[in-house]
Amino acid sequence: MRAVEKEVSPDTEKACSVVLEDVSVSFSGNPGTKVLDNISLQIREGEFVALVGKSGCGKTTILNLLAGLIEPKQGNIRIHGKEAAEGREHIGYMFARDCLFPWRRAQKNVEMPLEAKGVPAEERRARARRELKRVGLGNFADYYPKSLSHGMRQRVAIARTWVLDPDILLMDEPFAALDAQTRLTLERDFLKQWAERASTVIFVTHDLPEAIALADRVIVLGKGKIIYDDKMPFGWPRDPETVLADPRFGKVFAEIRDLLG
Amino acid sequence: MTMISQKQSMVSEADSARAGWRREDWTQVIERFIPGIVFVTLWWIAIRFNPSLSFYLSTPGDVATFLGESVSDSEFWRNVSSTMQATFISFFIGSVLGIAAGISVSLSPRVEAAIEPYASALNSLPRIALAPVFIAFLGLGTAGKVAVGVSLVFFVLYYNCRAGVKSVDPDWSMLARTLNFSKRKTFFSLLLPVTWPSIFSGLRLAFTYALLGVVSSEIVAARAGMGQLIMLYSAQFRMDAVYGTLIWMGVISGGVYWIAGRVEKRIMSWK
Repeated sequence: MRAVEKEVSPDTEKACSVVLEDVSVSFSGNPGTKVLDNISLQIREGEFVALVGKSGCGKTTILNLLAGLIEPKQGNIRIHGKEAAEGREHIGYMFARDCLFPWRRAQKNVEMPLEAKGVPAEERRARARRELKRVGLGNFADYYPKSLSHGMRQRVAIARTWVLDPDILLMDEPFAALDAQTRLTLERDFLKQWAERASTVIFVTHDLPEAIALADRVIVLGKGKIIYDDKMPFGWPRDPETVLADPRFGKVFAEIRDLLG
Repeated sequence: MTMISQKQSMVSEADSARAGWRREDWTQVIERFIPGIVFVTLWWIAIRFNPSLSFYLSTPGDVATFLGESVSDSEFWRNVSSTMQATFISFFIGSVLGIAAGISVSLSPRVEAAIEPYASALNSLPRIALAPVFIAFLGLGTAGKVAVGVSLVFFVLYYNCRAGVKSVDPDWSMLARTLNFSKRKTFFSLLLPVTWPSIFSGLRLAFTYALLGVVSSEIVAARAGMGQLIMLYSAQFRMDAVYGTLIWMGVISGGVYWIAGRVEKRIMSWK
């Protein structure tokens, strides 16, 4: 296990898209137990980080902190070297459920984040159409979510997340609700898009093989603390399926699984 | 591949819908008439075996004659239009007030706490009991009937609206928060579209309730209206006219209900 760097020099902070310093979170109903206990963490620009851990270990809490849905009890969060509230401007958040609005056609769902930002209609339409094409749904722009399959709906959700060109992408088990085949296709497409865009990705999953296969770096949380943090040895470009067959995969997997207990 | 085949299947469904009526469709229509035909036949048989029953039941023939004559009876239509006018007015006023109240209460928990106890108390009151009060204050014309209708319609929309607002999926609200929706944007892009289906089904019901309120009020007292006609005809034991008037009422309110259903299907095509 690699030591987690504690010191943050001003230089490295610039290259970091996300920095957490001694962050603690406890829920209002139960102030005694800490969901996150004095966590410090730096994530570099363009890094693909997977957060793993049992349910209740605080994975999603980290995403919610970064998205500004909750405030830390103590500690400091910096995004792009700025205060979190300022640096949060270009964050995309994707959930396990597609969260599409059923009364909007696919195209209109993708346009939604742009509407909130006040982007003019013409540009909204063009950008949404481009994103739908990129996820392979160029011909389905006028479909309502009810007429789309599970995988297609999640693709629309991916397009909706990419449409803002987020420099940080928070993903909360985005592929968990899909069947194995669809999931693999979406993972591949996602990696391809990520390679084109150079966004920082923070990816929460409780599926350990998925974390190892997709991420640059895997962080394991246990009882509110970081218990593992290391780079994955597989390099880019990669295919999630071939990673699973790599002999090094078994070693990393065994190591982390033992930590998870 | 799967996407393409799915798209094709959708297209072919649309094609077959355009192709026109098939035999199954006609059978369906005929099946719909069967209960009605059975009912009229039983009615006719009952009178055939015991002619004295026609005193209460009238006969299919007499009712048909009344219906036929009523078409060109201007006095009859004056009463119908009096009822319908009051029904539409109370439908409109009650709906607007009910929707406004339902949404504003849902937006503010404090307003809800203040209003809700009174609303549920008023709603549990049998509204027909208020008719004499309204008539005493507002007179035997349209205003009195409208007040009774509004008192029913208001609550239908008020409660439907509130149920609709409550059906906002927490995940949708979370998405709206992560996308930094303004209050205005959240209202128009999330709350209102989510509430629409409940509002619409409320509106559909509301017309029936408006008619109920107006006719009840006319039965208590009114200068004109279908409720008054029914009172008058039954006092004279003209049962053919009573049933005929009831049938007209059913046709009109059923027709409005049906049209509302079609409009709803159109608007809510995403469902």
